[in-house]
Amino acid sequence: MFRRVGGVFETHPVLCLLLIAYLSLGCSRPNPPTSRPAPAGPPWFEDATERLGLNFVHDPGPTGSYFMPQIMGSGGALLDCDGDGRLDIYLLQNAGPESKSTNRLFRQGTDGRFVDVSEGSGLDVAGFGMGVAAGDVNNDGRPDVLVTEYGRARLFRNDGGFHFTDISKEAGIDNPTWGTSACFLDFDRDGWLDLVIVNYLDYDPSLRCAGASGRQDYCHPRSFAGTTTRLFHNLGRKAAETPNQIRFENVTLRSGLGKVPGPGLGIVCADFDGDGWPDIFVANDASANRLWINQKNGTFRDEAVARGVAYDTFGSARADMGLALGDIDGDGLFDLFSTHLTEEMHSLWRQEPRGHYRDVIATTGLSSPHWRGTGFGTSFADFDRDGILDLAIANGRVIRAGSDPGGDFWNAYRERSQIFGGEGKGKFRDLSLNNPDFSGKSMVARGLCVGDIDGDGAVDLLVTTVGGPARIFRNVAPNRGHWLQIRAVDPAQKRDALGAVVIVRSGKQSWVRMINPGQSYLSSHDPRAHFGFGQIDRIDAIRVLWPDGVEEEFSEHEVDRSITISKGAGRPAN
Amino acid sequence: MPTNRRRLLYVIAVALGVSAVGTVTYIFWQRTNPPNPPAVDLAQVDPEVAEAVIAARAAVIKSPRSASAWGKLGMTLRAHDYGDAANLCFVEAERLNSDEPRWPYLHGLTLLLTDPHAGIAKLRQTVEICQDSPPSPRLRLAEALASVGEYADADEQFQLALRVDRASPRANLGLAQLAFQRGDTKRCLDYLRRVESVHPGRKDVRQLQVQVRTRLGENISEREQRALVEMPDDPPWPDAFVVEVQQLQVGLNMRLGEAFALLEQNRVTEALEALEKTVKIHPRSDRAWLAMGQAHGRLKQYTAAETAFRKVLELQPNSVEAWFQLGLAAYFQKKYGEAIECFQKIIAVKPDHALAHYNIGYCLKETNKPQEAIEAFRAALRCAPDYAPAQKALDELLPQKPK
Repeated sequence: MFRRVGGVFETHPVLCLLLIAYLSLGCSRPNPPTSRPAPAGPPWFEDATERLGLNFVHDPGPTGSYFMPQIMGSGGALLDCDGDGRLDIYLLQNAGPESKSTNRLFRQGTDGRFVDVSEGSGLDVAGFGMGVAAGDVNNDGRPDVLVTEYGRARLFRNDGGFHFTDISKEAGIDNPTWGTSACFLDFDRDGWLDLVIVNYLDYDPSLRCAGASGRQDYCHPRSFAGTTTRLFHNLGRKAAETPNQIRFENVTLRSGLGKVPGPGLGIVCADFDGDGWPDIFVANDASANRLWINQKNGTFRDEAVARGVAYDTFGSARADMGLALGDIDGDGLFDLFSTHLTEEMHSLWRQEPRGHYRDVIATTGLSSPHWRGTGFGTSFADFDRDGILDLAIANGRVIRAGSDPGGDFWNAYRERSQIFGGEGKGKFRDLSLNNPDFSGKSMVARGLCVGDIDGDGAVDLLVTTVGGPARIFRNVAPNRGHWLQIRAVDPAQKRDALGAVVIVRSGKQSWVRMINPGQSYLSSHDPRAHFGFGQIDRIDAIRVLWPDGVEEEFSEHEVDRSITISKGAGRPAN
Repeated sequence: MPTNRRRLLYVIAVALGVSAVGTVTYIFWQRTNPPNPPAVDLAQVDPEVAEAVIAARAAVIKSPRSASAWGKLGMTLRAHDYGDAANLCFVEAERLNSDEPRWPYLHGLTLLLTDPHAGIAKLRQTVEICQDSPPSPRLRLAEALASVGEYADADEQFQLALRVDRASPRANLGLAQLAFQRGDTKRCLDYLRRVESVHPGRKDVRQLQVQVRTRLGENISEREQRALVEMPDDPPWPDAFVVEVQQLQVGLNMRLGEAFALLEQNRVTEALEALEKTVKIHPRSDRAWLAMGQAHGRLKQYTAAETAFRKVLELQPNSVEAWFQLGLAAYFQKKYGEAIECFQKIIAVKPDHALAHYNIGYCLKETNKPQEAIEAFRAALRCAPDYAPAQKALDELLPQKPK
């Protein structure tokens, strides 16, 4: 077609006319929808489940009856059961108390692999398992475990050597309703961890629900009334009949939490009003959230409406489920993220000024992701250690997505999870397409736990799924910045100082984290605080606001290590 | 030019010509021959819904170039949660009649749920067609723009809506929310006052006012906050296009929804008539029989109510609500033993049913079994610590402590 003319190719006229005509016909076809280009970059996570030997498949019980607890659970926990510095894993089953499927405990060995040590542990119990909370309730240096279920809650005392004893009855932990997330906190600052259990619905299992097409599906939460969140006050040694006995008192009504029921799913215990006392935020499903502000006298007052966290940016109650707490814009104040349904926008309440919150999801980049999902487990963490918090969301539907895709029962509920990279000043970009292991496969994901599982200074992820395997996603983000991992302990209580706020400063920059593993959805995280610093390779100071109100400063300079700081070992902060 | 080369050039030219003609033919055919209407899985679907979908689909097959037939199929599918299939129909309806705003609007509303930017594009297209008649597309566009942080655009759209209707509560509320996001509390309150002057008592207005007042330093009482939370939800903004879709809903869910709405309005006789029709069409629906029993109960037609509840139990032997209602009926007839049996059936299915425990307690109290009644009231409180009647009943039975 082309002939050389003076060194330049020129076209044969007839053929080129035809070619142009052909190409222009192609141009007249409607263009395919333009998808947003994926940002360039290698993945941050790889699926390490098999390599690390985690062998767990969730049993939600038989399908077809649309028993609602089946679609809502279950969660899991990352906790160091034996104090060897390595995180172990506890995962729940949901097939009922008569089922052969029992909860599983996995010990992490020195080679990083997980071994099933459930048998004989005392934690290998069956039930409609929902959530896990970990905390040392008797101050013996070993984290104890609270399991919520549909129909009860169970407190297991850690006796050491991967042995646990169910002490629910003697401890006075009685929760006969549908428990979901739970959290330990010291609400009266007496040094003993108290317990709050969120309850969901006054569920009628005989009610059959259907979607608009008439096909049976799981019920909408508005089909039932909500129930009360329960607060249990740890009596410490006061009411103990034996030295090791732990006793709690149900103070739900006295505290004020019993005044207002709600369909509770998620919980975060943190200081929301900046007075140094822990408050309680409860995420309610399709109903106003509650922010129980500690009145410092054993009672709480719900101030969610006034402080701007009861509803979303448009004043609507959304399906609030999973929660993540973190300082997204570096102003030293904790912000709060809540996951919602696929058809709803999530909420991100930015704290500004202190104690007041405004839903700013629309301006963060999180309202325009590559795809939407029904979010459950979620967490902020600095995955790439650049000094800016990132966000992970575990997704999975609760009602069918329109037409039935066919295949196995859970196919209609599967969705892809998401990873968002923080860009600073409260902005995020969607990195899900760059993370095929975490975000490429559709799952009915529920719990999400974050922690440095392999001890390399980078935050990894543990995800639980309905009717599927639990998965470990190892952090492989390249070019990770400098880091520091801090365990904050109170030697007098012999345990992690749950509720402590840790602030690391370098020059004019500072980073803040809270020590409390109870966040996300039905999950318990690694209780250590993890910081990323980007290129900054030296820090000036660490300040800790201990749960009892004492403030200390520690002079630490080196990065890229894990340290333990103890109350009393620092100097009083100005 | 050598012969072989010329021949090759002619072959290429012919091939290109044939391809071009084929492509033109294909595009022309595609444009003049609509696709087949989407088929959806109707297995296990309400028979009334299946019938409606099949009828709407048949109308499209009969008139494949009718935009309204495609649109009606789309609306029927959308009304029954077949969103993806509905969107395909709206696309075709829009192609056949690009002057009709309903199709891009309804398509856009569905897209907003999963892809806000695509939904916004469709809403923009709708507004270009219909401007402000009706007003809901522009207002919906403004809200969608606000939801993705395009505040300047959103503001512009709300302002354009105000030019047509200065008092538009929806536009003024939208502007109030934008002002709040910008931290302009004064302007926010101004806009909220405008909403209240036309549409007093909206929950979303009150909650925004409370937030602003708090930021201005006012201490809002817990009582006021709780009263606000307990307010009923605001009704949806009027939207004629959405109402058209809702009116196409059929089936058991729709019938029960209408009956419950009538019951809420105390139009019990009408509700009962509607439910009688419902159980004729859906004789195996325990939900329909349950609603009928409740309606008969409201009219004090206890025998008919009992018959309906027993029918529920034939279909759903574990029905908590049916056993509860039968238990109440037995209690009011002073058949305490029978009542206790009914409530115990509930506890076997739902052990944390506080009211069942409480009612057992009352029956035991009536039959002079105070100790067992105490245990039952305690069980009720164990399930619902905030249930004041159970606490009162327990206090009455417990021996009084000496002063």
